[in-house]
Amino acid sequence: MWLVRKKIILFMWTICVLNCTGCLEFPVQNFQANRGGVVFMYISCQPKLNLDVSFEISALSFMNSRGEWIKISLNKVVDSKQLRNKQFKLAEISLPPGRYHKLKLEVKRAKKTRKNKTYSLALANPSGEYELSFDLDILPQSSNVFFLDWYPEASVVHKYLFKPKFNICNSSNGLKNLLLYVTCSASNSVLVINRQEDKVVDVIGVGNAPKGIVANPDGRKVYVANFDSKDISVLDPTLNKVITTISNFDYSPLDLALSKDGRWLYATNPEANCISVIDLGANVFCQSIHVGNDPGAIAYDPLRQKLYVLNRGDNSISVVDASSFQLETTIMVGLKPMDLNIFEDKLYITSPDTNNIFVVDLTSYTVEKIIYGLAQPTGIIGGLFGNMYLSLEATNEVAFWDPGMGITLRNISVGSSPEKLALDSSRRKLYVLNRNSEDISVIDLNQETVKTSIQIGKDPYDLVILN
Amino acid sequence: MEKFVQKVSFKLLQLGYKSIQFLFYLNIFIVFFIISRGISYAKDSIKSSAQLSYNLTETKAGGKKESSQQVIQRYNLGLIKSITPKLTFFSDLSVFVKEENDEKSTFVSPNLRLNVNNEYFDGSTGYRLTEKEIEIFGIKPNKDRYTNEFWNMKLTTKIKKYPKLKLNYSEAKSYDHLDEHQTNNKRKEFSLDLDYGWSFLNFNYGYRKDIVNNYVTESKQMTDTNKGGIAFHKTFKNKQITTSGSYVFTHTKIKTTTQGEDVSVEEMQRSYGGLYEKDTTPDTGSLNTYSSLVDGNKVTSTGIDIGGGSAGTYQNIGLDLNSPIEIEQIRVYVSSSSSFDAGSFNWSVYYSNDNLNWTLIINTADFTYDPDKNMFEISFTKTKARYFKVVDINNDIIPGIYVTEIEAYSKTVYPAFSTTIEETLSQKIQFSLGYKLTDWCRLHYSFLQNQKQTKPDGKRNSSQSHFFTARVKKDINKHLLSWAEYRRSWKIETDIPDIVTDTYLVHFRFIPIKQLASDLSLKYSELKEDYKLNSRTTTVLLKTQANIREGIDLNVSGKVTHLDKMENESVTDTQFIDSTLWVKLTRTLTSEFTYNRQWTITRSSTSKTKGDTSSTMITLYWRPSGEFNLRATYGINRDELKGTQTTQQKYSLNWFISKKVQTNMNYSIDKGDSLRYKYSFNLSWNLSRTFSLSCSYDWTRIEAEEVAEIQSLNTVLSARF
Repeated sequence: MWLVRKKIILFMWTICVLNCTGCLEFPVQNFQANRGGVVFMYISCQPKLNLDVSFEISALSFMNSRGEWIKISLNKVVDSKQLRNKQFKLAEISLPPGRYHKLKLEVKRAKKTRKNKTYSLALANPSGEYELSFDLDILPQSSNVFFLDWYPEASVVHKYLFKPKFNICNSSNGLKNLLLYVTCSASNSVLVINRQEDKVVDVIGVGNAPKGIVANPDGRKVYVANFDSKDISVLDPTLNKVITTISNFDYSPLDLALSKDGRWLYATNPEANCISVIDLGANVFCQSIHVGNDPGAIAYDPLRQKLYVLNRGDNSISVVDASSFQLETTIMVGLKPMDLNIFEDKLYITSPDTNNIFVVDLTSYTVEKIIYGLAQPTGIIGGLFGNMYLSLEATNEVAFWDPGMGITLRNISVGSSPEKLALDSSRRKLYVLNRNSEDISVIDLNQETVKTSIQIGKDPYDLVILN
Repeated sequence: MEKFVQKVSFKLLQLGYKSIQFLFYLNIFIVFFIISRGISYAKDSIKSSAQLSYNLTETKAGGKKESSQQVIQRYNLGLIKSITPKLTFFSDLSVFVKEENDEKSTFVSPNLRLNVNNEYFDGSTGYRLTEKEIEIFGIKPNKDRYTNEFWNMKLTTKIKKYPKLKLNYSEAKSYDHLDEHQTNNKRKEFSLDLDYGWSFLNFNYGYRKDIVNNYVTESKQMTDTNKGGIAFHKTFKNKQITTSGSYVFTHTKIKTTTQGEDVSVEEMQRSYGGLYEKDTTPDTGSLNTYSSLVDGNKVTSTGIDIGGGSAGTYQNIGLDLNSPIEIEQIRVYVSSSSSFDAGSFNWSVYYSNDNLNWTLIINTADFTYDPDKNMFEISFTKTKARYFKVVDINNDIIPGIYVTEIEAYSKTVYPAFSTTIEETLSQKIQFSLGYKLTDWCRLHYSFLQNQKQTKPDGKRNSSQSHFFTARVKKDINKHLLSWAEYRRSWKIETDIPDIVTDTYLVHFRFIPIKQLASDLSLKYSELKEDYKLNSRTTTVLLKTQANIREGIDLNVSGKVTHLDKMENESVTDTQFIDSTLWVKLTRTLTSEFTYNRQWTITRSSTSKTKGDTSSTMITLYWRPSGEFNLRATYGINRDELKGTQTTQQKYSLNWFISKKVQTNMNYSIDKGDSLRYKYSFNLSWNLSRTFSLSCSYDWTRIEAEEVAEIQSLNTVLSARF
């Protein structure tokens, strides 16, 4: 007992001493920037306008509490035609920690369009600089967001002068059962999207390189795997904040799955060819289970109490018994399997390298069928009326697919490199994460068209809906 | 009333005391945190979080009342220190304390890690200690102390033009602190993985060595695994021809050395079929095939009720192991809507080699019931046979104890003072060839092979699957599209008859206008076992999707299946209809009406069975604003032949009261053999940037033969710095 206490005391003193040795300076610019906060800026305007206005921003500047301006080059065109019913991500920047009171936009030029005729506007301020007051508190390694509501018609004064009129809003949280969460690895953030309006409403700073994300069945918690910082952030979706972090990991977690009772969290560890089991009662790592080479996606089967893990390195699926934590069997499938989904008692696996979908019978754990000829299927999800939805990377489309016949019923164009999918069955919407174009396409399943697209952070990886 | 007030006051006092304790220890962390933070380097990161949760559950059933209280404290302190831009130190301390009624449980886990990241490799080394059930904060746990230590080192290379190398080494120790250890083992693992891609080929090789020393049983197990493979993917003629394939071999050698004690390891035996019959003379008589007993699904009822007094006894539940195998345990999984007395059960166990004449192994077998896994574990003398069954000759009078799954287990015993070597060699081949003959015609062939050989028993198992598909697509006109496909799958496996399936498919899609689409599929398949026709299936499926007008969508699908089974000369006709009407009544109100019905008739030479079930559901969803929504569902499930029905009602209300507070209420009523009410309420409050509070209340009432009521209050206070 005394030995244990000694170890703990020694550990805590080690932390203290190491903190004190932080007096040594290492001049690393990049590192400094990384320790600041990430700021997302979104702009939108009202849907109905008599007049369309556009302007070009060359730079943004932020004034801190010491009166210093920090300038960020931008070069973006804001056009009210594109903003109707849609949000536009103006910027995603990194700012040093501190309090900021003013925002300055440097406008290069502005135009108005009325009845198909375009006219240049003079800038009310010859320098093109327009200041706005606001309050933004940036903590180290935090993620922040603010929204500019732009009034295009009110921004044109005396019919020829451009004087932009904005209202700045901070983040808001909404009803948690209306929310969608997206991990953006390069932004170290989770974006929160309101599914009623299909707009970003908040940003949550998590660990480094967030990847897999999964929500509790009762919608009370969301878990995010942070690959680089080797921990898991636990979010409260009511408050949109991280309430605790589960660390103690020896290997980086990638994808996540949750048991039906919410007691166990499973994370794939591609570095170590294993999956980690986390006891959510105590928030601690429990044990690891060896699977195949380079495990990626993972799914939990609540009926059979099994875990299915895709091994990208040896083209197989590992079947793990979730009650005994034992590896049961390994099933050979196609090259570099990417995603999997349990639908109507069968397991569907996409293999974009072979353009195939493998269908595995979950009673005998054998491959029952191979569907060929799809254009690099990446993501797959079970949908409405017995259909499934596939994201096709080669053609940047989402396919409505009949799994019984193996036939594509319809293709819809989305963004670049579509991957993961999430279904909102109440509102009949499908959310498609487009990795290259860094946005989410929202498909109306009644009309079978893309309703809108939502711009998100850098290097998006996964998404989850709270129902 | 006075007693109730006293009880509540006592519980509040207890909670108050725990809160004070929590705040005291939280203060220690805060002070420590502030001191460290105050003198730390700006680039460091220190994080801390703390959680206090309180749960009170009261259960009333059969005139008895039980209550349980649980208080959990969780603390976490973490440090990330960048020693250089490429060298980072991580440290973490977690403390967990749980008090549930009189039971106390704790653990403390410090963790240290050093990471190196540069353009050539990523490496790390670390140590984690987990002390379970140690005295902390003055709390003495009830269970014995248990320690886990883990140390590891790993390295992964990053240079793309060279093979990717992954090296891992770890050591883990687990032991208790008893004078005579019940657990004391040490595990060492080493693994090396190489991955290299060249042109269209990919090579990989992995070696893993596992050494497990169990100092209690004085046994040692060494496992050496060599695994390697090659994979390729290539297209020709401008992607008209695509090929891919892989070959993977795995060789595992397990050497088990025992000293003073026998070591036994249990293993589940694969079942090839489930068997069932209600039979009061279990010594003779065939059991019928019942596949849902061995489908891996341990949650969904198979319909076999083993409760309810004499009405539920003599359920003969069995499995087919396909060949005589020695087993000594059968596990039966159940689901039940109310708690029952497992001790009232008596199980008899039988075996057979022809599924006709049964030999009794034991009349009342030893068994245990695991309420967490909902599982009866029935043990008997080791017996070798192909068919086994268990029969419940006594049970609990409560009806509705449904079997979900059955499994068979055997045990391998490693005798004392022996060395056993087992080897397994497996080879897996996968090959796929696709040929796009024209824009409207495609051919595809796939081959999968698994071979497994074990020593010293010399068992060989081999399975091969061939899949061939030919598909043509024709756009008859701009409104009518068609596809035709022929599929053949051929499965060959050791000791199992070859299975060949031929399937012919024709599909039409008719889109006369943008708002209407219809799909008609015709499918005919023949299944042959050992080249003899086993069954024929004909399916016709019609699906229609109509956007009647804006805000009104109708989906209807109808399916007719005719199945001819040659082995038992039976014919099954199934008709199924499924319809969904979705209507946007107003801008804020939508409704959904779903109706489905299934008719089944099975005729054989000796019997005729019918089934007719239907399900109707109406859902209303009202969302007047972004801050409030209400969802109400009413459903009826009917067995049209028996005239029985169950109903469900569910109501869900979500209300965003303010930025700090939102509530969620759920209320449901299930009417069937039992009446079930469920209500839950959830409140969350952002007290400040650091603190947050959430409360939830759940209430469930079940009215069956007895009335049971469960209510639970849960409060969580979180702090994060």
